[in-house]
Amino acid sequence: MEKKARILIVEDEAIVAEDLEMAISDIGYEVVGRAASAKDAVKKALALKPDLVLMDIVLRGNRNGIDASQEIKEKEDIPIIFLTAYSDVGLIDRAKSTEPYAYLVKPFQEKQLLASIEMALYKSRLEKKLKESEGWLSTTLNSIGDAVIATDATGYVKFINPVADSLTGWKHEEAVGKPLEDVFTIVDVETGEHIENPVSVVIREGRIVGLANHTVLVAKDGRAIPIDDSGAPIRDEKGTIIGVVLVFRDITERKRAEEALHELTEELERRVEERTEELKKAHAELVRKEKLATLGQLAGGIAHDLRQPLGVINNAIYFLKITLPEADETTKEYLDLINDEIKNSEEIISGLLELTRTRPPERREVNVSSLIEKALEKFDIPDTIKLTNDIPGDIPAIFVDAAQIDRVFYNIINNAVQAMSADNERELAIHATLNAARKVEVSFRDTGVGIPEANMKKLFEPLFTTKVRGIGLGLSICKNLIEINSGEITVQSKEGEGTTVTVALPLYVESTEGRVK
Amino acid sequence: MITDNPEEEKLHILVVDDECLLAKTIADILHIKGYGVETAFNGSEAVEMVGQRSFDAVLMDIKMPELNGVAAFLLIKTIAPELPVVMMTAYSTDVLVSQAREQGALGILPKPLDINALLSFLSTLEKELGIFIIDDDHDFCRTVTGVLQKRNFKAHYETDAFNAMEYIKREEGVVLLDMKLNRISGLEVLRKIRDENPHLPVILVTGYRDEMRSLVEKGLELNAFAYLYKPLDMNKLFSLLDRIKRKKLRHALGER
Repeated sequence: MEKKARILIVEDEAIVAEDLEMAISDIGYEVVGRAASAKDAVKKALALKPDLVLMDIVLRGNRNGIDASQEIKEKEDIPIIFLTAYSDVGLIDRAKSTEPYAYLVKPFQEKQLLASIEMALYKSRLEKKLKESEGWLSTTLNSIGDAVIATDATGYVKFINPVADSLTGWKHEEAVGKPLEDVFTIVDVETGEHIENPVSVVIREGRIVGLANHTVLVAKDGRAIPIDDSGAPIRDEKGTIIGVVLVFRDITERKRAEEALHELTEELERRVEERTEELKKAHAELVRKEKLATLGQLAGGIAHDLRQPLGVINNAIYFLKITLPEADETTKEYLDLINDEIKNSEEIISGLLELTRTRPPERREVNVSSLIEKALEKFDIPDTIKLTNDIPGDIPAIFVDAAQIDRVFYNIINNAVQAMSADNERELAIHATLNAARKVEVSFRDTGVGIPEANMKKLFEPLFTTKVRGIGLGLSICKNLIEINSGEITVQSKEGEGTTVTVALPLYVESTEGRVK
Repeated sequence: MITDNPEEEKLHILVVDDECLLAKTIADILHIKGYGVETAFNGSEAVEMVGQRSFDAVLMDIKMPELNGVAAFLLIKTIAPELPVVMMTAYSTDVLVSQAREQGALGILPKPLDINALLSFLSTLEKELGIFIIDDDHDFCRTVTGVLQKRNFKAHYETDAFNAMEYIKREEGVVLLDMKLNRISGLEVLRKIRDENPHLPVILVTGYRDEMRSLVEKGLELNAFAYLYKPLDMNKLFSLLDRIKRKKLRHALGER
């Protein structure tokens, strides 16, 4: 033995005590003290903290060895062996409550004493170790951040730690002994259905199980807490499942973080999409500008070179018409035909020039209604087209270059009229309103053939056309002219139903320009 | 060549274009319409011809090699300052076009030419400006009419405003309107004129400078062309009539 066990002897008879001490010392233990009364025994036991107390049950004075043992037990965990001169059943029963390690009935032999002491010391060490490990375990479970609930093999709660306590709302005292379903109620947040108690699953399958996603714990007060958990079987040394331990945690924060992350990702995706859209637009605009630049280089020279011969043809036709007043109808018709074609050619040329060499706008106060009237005057709109020209009298004046916007209106009306075939019901409706952005919005709605979805993006591209005649400059010119007049143009169309072109133009404000009388 | 009206004495016009075919075709049309026409194929030639002969109008291409149309026009102005010059161009946005305008070219005709506009211009040019005087002062009417007729204007007068209003609708020239008539105010007459003939040029005449000021202003609001005080400054009247004539010419050319 490395260290001698220290023993306190409590014996009121000095001779017996002397014998005991001698015997114990002989065996090889150290006697740290002797007490003759219950009071003395308690005092010395607490002061000396012996490894073992040999306690005579019958002591002088009003308190016996059992009383002393009880008092010592309450304060210190010291193993006690009772000594008694005779076997008194009643006394032994009382002594049991102090959890003695052994009884020795006097007289006893040295061998018996040794065996009893050894046994008591061994058991006491074992118990201490067990208690330490139990204490360590429960402290651990009480200290960890996760919630822990342990049940027995039938699913009744055996243990619940403080985190689990605060999450479920069940106090340890209330929870222990209750079926797990009462304490630990979980539902699927998406379906609202109860989820099978994990304990039964663990017991049935004998393995560690995790919870499905979207699991929420319904606390005693009805709060729903998203949790993440796992259950594992508790087995004894033979491998039999004797219970289940559930470990779970509140994932509200994590969920929130996940959601925030999700939102951020979505926002990012949205922005990427937006930027991509902007880039696409910028690219389209660039293509448009490049086409314009190329056209611009060509247009000037071509225009001049073509206008000279056109001018000659034009004059020649005029001359022929004067000199051939008596010509037959077909000849007259042909002369008119050439005349019309000269006009068409001239329109293409001026379109090209307008598009590529737009002069800076000379903006002034302009009345929308009279501008529309002026544009309409240039058309011989057939009676089969129902024309609605609804410009309210209170529409304020706009601030634009009248000639340029007249050109825009002309082009739009021209497109509308051309888009409407004779066999359909035909209507051209022109409206004006003051929009939320304080611009005058003039809309031209026709019941024409409409524009196929695929062509919508190319509408404003120069040289894009679906007409048999024409080289695709009209809308491109409109867009240019409108933009230099600080306006906007939008087109809505449904194939087969018609098209609405809307032009938003800036208001005339008195202070925009000093008014000259 | 056949002409519409060979007997009548028509205007004498110079057509200038380096594009010979254009010059020729325009000249042929004008000729057939009864005008006297000569052609030049470059700027210097045109200036030279204006120096030698008298023309009533010049029709000149802007873009020509060496001496361009605007430069030629400037030279012509030094020789014949009153000669109406109309430019022609295949480029509407050229710098020369705005220069021509600044220098007082009557108008710019885009190519291919709108021949009807050109003919309407020429017919306006050859027509004498008619002046219709409405004033209850008989002597005033007679003297002014006399002076105008001496200056080759077609002038007539009416002392009764109500009679005058009867045929104001047909009137094409210029109205000289007295603001103080005996039975009706000049302003009232002007309103009636506007009802019938919104664009007719009207020159207001008043002898009462300060008293009539507000009436004159109202008259100007009714789109009166100008106003003059009595006694009439004839030079001012002539210059106003000249402005009106040029305005009519521009209008005939389709200019704003």
